[in-house]
Amino acid sequence: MKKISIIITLFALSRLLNAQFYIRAETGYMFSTHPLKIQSIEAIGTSATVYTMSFKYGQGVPLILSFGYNLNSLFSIELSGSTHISSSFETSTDRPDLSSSYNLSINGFFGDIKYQSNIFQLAPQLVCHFVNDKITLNIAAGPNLLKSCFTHKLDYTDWNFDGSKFIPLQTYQEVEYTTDLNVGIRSYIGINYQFSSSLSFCMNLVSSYNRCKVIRGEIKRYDIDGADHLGDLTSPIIKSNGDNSKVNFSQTGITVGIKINLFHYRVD
Amino acid sequence: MNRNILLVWLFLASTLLQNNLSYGQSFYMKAGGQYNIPVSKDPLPHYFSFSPNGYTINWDNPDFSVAEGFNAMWTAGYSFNDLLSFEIGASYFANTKKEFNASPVYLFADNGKTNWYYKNYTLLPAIIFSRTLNKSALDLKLFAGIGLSDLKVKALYRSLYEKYAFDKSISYTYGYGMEYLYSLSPVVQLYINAGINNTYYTPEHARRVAYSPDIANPYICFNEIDYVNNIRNLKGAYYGDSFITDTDKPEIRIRETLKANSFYFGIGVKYTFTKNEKN
Repeated sequence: MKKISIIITLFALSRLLNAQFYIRAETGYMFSTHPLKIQSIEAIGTSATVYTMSFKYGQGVPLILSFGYNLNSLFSIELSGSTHISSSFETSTDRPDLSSSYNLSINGFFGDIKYQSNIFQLAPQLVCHFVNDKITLNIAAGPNLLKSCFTHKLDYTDWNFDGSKFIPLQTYQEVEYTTDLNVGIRSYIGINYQFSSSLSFCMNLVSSYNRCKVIRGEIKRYDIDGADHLGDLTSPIIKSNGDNSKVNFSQTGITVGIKINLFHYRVD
Repeated sequence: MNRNILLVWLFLASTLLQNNLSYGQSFYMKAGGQYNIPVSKDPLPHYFSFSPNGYTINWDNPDFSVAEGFNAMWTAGYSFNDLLSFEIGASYFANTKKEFNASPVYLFADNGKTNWYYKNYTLLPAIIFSRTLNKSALDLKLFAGIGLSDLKVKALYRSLYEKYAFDKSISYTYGYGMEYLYSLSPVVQLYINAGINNTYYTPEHARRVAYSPDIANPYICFNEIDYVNNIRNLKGAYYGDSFITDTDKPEIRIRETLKANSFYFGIGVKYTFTKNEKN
């Protein structure tokens, strides 16, 4: 039994001798495929207007670094790590003036929200590649581990009714949310063009699907009319709302980059 | 009669095409089935209101997807050479996970459920890159296409229900995948495949097609709904906490896209029209 194990191990190792390591650096643009949309309603007398705000979590410029290992001429395994830059966006609605009209009513959020979603992804993947002269076609899939920390900067008018009239309170709030580590799916299909034995240009169509649960929120700043009121809050911590607090970071986009073979030997 | 003409035309066309093929070129046809598993879920979209007999029904569900189900594929393709092919597929999809109960269930609320009947008919042009391996072959497939989606939704609470049918409208699909083909004979191959499929469908209009006889005042509900991109200065009046518009006209709601993202895997058969060696 021991001898058989040794033979199998040696056979497996002999297969790996045909392999080579590579690294790949990519960037591009990823679009949010599941933006969160919220609606706010403003009604003046017999007339209503609905405002829609869209939150594109997961959208931005990815910076991806992959480390791979060619098992044979057909398959590789690789580990990709990535984060996003340029992931700040703004969404806003008109701000109704409750003090100017007695028959105006509002439901929802009215104001400006700047949000930034920092995401960190780690994806071990199985890659299948077809080599044809200088061109290699790839398809890959595997689990995608994603964790995010995103911030909302809310600028809005709060209204305080003093018994006779509405008094506007210019409010600014910064909230930082942390999600759990979600395991989703990441895949890509792409093409490599080989410039030399060690260097290739690559372009990939990438899709990933992750939905993370917000586990914690913390109000970092709370100003009313320019004065700090964070201390007035009972607690700056916002509790998770269970499954209803899931945020969808699914994304799809195009990436381009370079692939460097660490040994100048091409497997065919 | 028309069917016979079509069959004769197909036979003649395939014979003519077969006799004009160069080396490495071939026409082929495929038929197969696939099963789809959702890879992303969303909160259940509220395409209409359901408050029968004054009840406020909880029918939310944060883990909703219509992407689970079977699809059948019929494909006609042309191989330019051993590496590159082009094909057009016709796909029919129907969801198998139809019922979504209110979740989380609220103890002191009326918890209902919804049934979703989603069908999708799509034309899928695809580019195929192949690699031949002895008696088998591996294909990489990149596809994108448009189709028609059909949706019916039934909301239920105890014996009360309302059912809405959505007008067929265009849906968009894209994805990619991989196929492993095994040759049973020079012209017949079996294949298994797997990949990612994304379909997006945005309803534009819905009609209420059925409601429970137990609903006391069905006439105060909307029979039609129009889905629009913007709602500006909509005329109506407040009734309690709700802004109600004229129920003789369609209700106006903001458009919401139904997303079906799935991982698919399937099996099928491929028949290749090869060139006769004697010609």
